[in-house]
Amino acid sequence: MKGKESFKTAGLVVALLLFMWALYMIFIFVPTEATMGISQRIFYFHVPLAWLGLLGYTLVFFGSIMYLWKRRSGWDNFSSSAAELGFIFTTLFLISGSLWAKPAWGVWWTWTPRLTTALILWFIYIAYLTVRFYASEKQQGARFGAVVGIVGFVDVPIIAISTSLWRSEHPGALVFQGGLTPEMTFGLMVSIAAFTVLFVYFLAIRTSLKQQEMEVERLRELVEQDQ
Amino acid sequence: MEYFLTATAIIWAVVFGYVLFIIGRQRKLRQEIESLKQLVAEKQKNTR
Repeated sequence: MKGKESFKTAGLVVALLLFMWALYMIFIFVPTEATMGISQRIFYFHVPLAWLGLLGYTLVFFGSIMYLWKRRSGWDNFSSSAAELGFIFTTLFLISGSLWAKPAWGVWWTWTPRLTTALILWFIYIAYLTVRFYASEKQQGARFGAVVGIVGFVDVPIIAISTSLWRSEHPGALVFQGGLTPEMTFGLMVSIAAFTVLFVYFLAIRTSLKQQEMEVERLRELVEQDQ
Repeated sequence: MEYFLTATAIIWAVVFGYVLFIIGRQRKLRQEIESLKQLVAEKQKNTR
């Protein structure tokens, strides 16, 4: 138990330190892009948030398979926590994208394949969380959620390759295409690392909270027995 | 500039909001577990 607590504290400290470093990189270190100016720096938030949206759903997919296979509530706690976080980060990813699209393209939203498939992912997250919420029994919700978690995963690789499949104004993988200076790439990597550590930290905490919620339910049943 | 600052503010507000939600939930659950454990212990005492 103590080991778990110190692991969580260490995770928080690492996340905070990485975030301070990432903020220094984003606000001071990285050069200002010539065409878009300061607003291009949204990129250093937008890309890590997009990555976490996809990572979140990949973990939901993995946890859902494991739950249907093993039927252990721990896997359900894991995938539902990943879905909650993935939903939050996908929402932020869409908001940051919109705030970047306005100065870059002159519109808040445009139906490019990347944006459309990302919005579909956001709706899939909502479907996953809604199915669980409205299920008559907890186990039924977990089962239905797991099915949505597996079926919905089909959107994740489509988002990842959408800019290669269909040409649009949305930029592709700039890092691999050599569209960034070394300073920009380094700033992006630090930001991705900071957001990923924060995500893992949140996931660990949220999963353990769900386990505590189950403990509360178990104790309540014990108290209510024979009353 | 304002778009960048707006994006930064929204992201940080949501992250801090989530941290506060987690802290609050953790505190509530710990208290609930403690009080329920006491109730279970009392119940077991009375049944002996």
